[in-house]
Amino acid sequence: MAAPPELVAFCEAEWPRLVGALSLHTGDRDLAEDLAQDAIAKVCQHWRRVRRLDAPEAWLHRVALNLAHSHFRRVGAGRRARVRHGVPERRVDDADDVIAIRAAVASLPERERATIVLRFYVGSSVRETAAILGCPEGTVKTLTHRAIGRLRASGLVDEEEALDG
Amino acid sequence: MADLQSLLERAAASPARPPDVAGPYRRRRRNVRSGFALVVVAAAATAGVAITNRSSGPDARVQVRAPKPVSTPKQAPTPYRDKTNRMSISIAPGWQRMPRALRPWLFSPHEILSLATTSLSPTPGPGNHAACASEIAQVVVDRIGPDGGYMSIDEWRQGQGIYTSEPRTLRAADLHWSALCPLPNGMTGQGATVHEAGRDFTISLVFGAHARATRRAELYAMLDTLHFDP
Repeated sequence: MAAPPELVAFCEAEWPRLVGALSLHTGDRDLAEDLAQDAIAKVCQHWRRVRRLDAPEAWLHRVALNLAHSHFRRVGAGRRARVRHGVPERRVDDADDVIAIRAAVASLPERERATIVLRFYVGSSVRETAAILGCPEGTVKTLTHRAIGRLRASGLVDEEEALDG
Repeated sequence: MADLQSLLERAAASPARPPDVAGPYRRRRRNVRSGFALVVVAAAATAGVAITNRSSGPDARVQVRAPKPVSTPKQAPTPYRDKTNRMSISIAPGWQRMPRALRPWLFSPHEILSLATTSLSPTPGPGNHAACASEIAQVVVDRIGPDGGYMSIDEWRQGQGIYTSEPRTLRAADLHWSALCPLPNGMTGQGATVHEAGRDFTISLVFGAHARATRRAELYAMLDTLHFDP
């Protein structure tokens, strides 16, 4: 039996954002696609339950972040440090500033990176981000503030970013 | 300089391939069917009929006889409640709780329960005595033996365990288990994160190289009795 059309539509709609978020979070597009595909498999597995959720896309991002975290945990601290502090992968069409952005994001601690990606790339509100990360809204604001401070220190951001909402 | 949102938009990678939805959906349906078939086979096997040919004469008949009930005394699990860490669990026979944390160097997550099939003590002396990056204590690797098993439950300090499992209540078979770092002597390890009662936990399991399948079943059964209070 073919997958239900609403499941296919949901996955196809969320796929680009999911891969993009994971690529920022992991610093590796191929890994991001693999993790995103694993998250899609989870959605397929639990679709009857997921479709009834108020925000299935939040569930998807939460699962994807869990998978990324499990991956980092599996590969160990050494690899994680290389991913965070090493030179991000470069593709032939990447401009220097894109490399700089990826390096700055990759240098953030994992929790701050997840928060920044959810807030400013996925477009989640503070409340949604808190729900996805399973932490209080105040923690999200703190993590966002710290991350922006680090990005500002790296010369990437020089303006006040909205921290509320 | 552009705002952060547009910078991230530029830096994010675009997917090179579309998602595969049909494959996982098909596999899910096949798993459901296989699960049903396994249940049917298991039911038939446990029905256990004994076929005995009692006579070799012309009136030889095949007698179908139900197996005699076997009465093996079963040890009951031992309930354990930890008021300090606000949790309870039923410990299976053959498993024991370690009275002290085997990894006192951990802060967040920190160890709140360790169970093993043999008695273990933390390695004396300061510092980190982990066998690998997944923070499995060296003493576990050294001592549990080829048929042994080990489980630890670590709790994240408030607000730090943000990578919670998908929204669900704690059932071991439903958790997303991932392999831990490679362990020596053919041992295997798996870990999962859990969000329960507003608290975040990491659960790690380690099995000896020749651990029986029942070890995993015992661990999963214990995990299903695990309860955390808010």
